[in-house]
Amino acid sequence: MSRGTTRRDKITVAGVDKTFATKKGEVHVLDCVDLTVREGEFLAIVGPSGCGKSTLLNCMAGFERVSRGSIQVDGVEVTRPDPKRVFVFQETGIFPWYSVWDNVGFGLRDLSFDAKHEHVMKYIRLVGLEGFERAFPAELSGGMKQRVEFARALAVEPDVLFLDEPFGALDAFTRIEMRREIVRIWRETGKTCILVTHDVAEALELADRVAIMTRRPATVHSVLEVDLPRPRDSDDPAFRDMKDLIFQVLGVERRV
Amino acid sequence: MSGAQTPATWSRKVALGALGFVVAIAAWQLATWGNDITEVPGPRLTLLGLSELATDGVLWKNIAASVFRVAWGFCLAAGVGIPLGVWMGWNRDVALFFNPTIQMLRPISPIAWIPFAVVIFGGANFMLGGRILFDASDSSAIFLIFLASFFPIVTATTSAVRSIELKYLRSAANFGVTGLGLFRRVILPAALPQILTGLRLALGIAWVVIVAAEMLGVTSGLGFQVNDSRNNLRMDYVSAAMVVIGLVGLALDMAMSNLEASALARRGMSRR
Repeated sequence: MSRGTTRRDKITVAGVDKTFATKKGEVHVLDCVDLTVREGEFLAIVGPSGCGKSTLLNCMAGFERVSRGSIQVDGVEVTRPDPKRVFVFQETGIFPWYSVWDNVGFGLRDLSFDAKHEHVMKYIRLVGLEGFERAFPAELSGGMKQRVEFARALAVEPDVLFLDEPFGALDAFTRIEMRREIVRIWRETGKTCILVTHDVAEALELADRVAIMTRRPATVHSVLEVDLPRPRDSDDPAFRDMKDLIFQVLGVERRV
Repeated sequence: MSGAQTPATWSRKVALGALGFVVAIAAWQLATWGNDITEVPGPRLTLLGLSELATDGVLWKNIAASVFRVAWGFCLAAGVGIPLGVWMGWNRDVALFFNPTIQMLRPISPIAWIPFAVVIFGGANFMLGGRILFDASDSSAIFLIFLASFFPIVTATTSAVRSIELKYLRSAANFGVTGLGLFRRVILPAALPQILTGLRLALGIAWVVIVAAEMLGVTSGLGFQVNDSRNNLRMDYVSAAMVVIGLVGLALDMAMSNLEASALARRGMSRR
């Protein structure tokens, strides 16, 4: 991937407010959020837990409607979920009652069996799960389940991947492996990726740009360009400086 | 004993289960020592009565009659209860509409419906293609079994559908899967474990109720066997019929539990 200088805007979030009605009255979650996602970029959204970054992602995916403002993809207002933009869930959303093959093929329709099989196997190979196509999710490790979910998402050939803390439920070693994996897949497929995480280091390892959100009611405080070469090293001084900067903006004391 | 026990081995299960059974039989024998067939009979008289009933052939006819009624009532209840439960679980307003009525009817024992069952169904045979599908006495028993199994099935299905995780529904929506496809590929499989538990519970209740349902107005079935033998002062036949009721009930429950386990095993949610 060449680092774009004139990439066009893929998703535009403009003046978005989101309030939830609860028994104790209205909860104001998002407050006038502005954000632009460029085509083919890897954007990370970081913020404190519960600040509403997942809510923003849900609105961008069309699972929830904004209370005010607008979210547009390719200039068209988002009103509902669309297979062109696939959501990857925090703890995998793959179906435990389907085999790996059936999960990956879930979004594929109107294909002959042979065409579907070829397509499904292509994506099973892409995520490195060849030989497991007949296995059920319960027989797989957490990292493998996450791979299945990536394959299921990629199989419908979307433009955009929404990643809602996709590595949160994995152990530390698997998490590192899966981060490397998602960067590889992103580079091979050129999808636009939007990652929500509360892990600042993860955001810096993966993203071209990092949007920093404030506490609730949340807004985008600033967007940081991460112009570090890949593969990235979290012990690199420039990396650490950026991490410090983000923690400063978030108002968090990093040292324990 | 403390909670940290290793799972019992198969041989241990069999050995302890058999021992408990032998102790129960011995206690039964002691408690009924010297009784004849007009009093509470012991295990020996029961076994003799059982073999008489079995060679006579009437026992098999009665088992078949009871199983037939339970099967019909149970399947009708599942046929109505599962779709209604899915609808109630899916649409909150539908649940709000039906639920108060269902929860009010649920605690009424099906036995209390017997007088009405006889009045409503006591006079007609159900015909299908010129043949009697079930006669008048079957109909009222089937109605009672339907009532007994309907409420657990509808309640379990409603709660199963309502508790489907949001991420599965959102995944389906994300891939553009809606309508019948959503029902077939996501809602039903996601709700299946809890629905099967409801079915198992319902079948257990149905088998308990069938004996009572057959004590009035019918001339076949295990409930009839109990009642008829009592009228003839053949208490050994009564206890023999009770043993058979227990065994058939156990077999039905094991069949349902196998079905449940095989449906769950594939997704690693098996309880054994």
